[in-house]
Amino acid sequence: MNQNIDESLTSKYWENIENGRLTRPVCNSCGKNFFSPQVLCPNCFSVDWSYSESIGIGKIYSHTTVYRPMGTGFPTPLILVDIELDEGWRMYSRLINCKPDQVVIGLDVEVIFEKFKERTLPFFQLRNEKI
Amino acid sequence: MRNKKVAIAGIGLTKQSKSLEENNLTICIKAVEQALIDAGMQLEEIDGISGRWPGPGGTKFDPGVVDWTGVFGKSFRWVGDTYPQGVPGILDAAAAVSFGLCNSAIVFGGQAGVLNTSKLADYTQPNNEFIQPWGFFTAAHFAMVAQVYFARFKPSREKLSQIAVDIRNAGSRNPEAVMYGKGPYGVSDIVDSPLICDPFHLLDLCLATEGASAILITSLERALDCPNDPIRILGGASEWHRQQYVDPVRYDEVGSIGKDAFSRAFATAALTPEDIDVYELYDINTWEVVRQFETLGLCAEGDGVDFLFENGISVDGKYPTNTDGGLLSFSHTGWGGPNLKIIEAVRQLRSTSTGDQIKDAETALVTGAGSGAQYFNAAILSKNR
Repeated sequence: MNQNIDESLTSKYWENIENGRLTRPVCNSCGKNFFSPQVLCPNCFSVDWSYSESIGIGKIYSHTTVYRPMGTGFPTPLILVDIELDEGWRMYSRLINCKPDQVVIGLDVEVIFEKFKERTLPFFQLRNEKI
Repeated sequence: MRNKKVAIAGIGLTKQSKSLEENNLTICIKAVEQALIDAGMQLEEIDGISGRWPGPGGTKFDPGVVDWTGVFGKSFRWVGDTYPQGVPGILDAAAAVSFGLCNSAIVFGGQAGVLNTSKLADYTQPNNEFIQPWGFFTAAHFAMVAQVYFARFKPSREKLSQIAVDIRNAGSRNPEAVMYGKGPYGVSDIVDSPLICDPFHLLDLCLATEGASAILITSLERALDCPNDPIRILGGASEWHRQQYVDPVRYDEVGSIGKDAFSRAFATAALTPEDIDVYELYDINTWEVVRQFETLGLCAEGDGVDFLFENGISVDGKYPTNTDGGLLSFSHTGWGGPNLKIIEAVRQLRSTSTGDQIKDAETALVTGAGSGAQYFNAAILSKNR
């Protein structure tokens, strides 16, 4: 069984990523963000929502660094993060351009688009280098 | 119509191993046959079935459980398709028997011949488009939840490790456990084992193994005629927070998942957590055991590590937990893995555990899933008195 969400729901999301734009569903009826994309807005059940540009800035809600070689082409250490975006939505990503011991809950992060396995992905990096 | 009282009349458990030269179907059928023998019943009498279709073969339609009619060569009155098995499987079957949808139901699952192909079991890496690109796997989702707890409450890493030590050493003593004969383990073995995904070390995490298990549920009236003492299902409940392993899982939302399920299950059973003689908890990692004791209300949030260290979870502790070696050491067979908690609980209540038998155990708590999975379930079993 294909576990992916209906492609028509998410193809625009990935197309925007390829073009260097981080977007997320915003409901035109109630104004709420949601992610992952759903057919109906989970807040008001409206089908009238559209992908709206995110500023791509947020904070680390949580993180884990994976040290075990995954055997599937992922580098280790691999820093997985749950980002709370400033617009009030959330997504999983990977933190790059930093070391595992720099990662702390609550740090400011920003999106950075990079190629991985021949596709563009919305990675995140720490927002200032003062740390 | 009056709802019937229900009981577990039979259990089946195949050999559990890191890999078995069988396939998913043959191993499941073996477990079913054992449960039938254990209950002294014939397949003809079984008219309810709940066995998540493990493939290969079948029609590949959902629900795949109906495919079992072909394998067994018989029709059924009730088909369950719980995801996953374990507590939701037996609760659904109990409800079906109680309400008269069927007379006797078999709940079963397992895997074989599938784990030797990759380092990580496939089912730990859902092929979702928002998960797969980052390299997530089950333990990493749980680590995201635990990380927030660790940052907030700063539990003692050494005391937390004692939980892994106690559960793993129970498995080392259990001839039926996959890790039988390994160890004994000390705290340093846990903290010195490789970090897999912080804060979890290798020995904090459950196994991925092969084997199958089956549980036969029928009316109490019928079970009283079976060779073994009936084990009653006194209460149970589930919580489903959100689709597992897709959207980010957060401690602030699922840190106390299970509170409502425990509350309903204990209310139905007319018991309290302190009445439980043996705890068969879903130990997908050591910290989940702590979280469940906190959620049970036996200690405060953030105090669980100290609480369990002081009270003890081994056979001579105040809260004997995972007496077979648990998912850490006994076995974890994928979608059928949650059944193993029920198998060990039934054995404890029959005083036939091959692990650490708790003397005169009369009540057992079994749980399934956990915070990182965004769902949770619990059931209370007891000797028929």
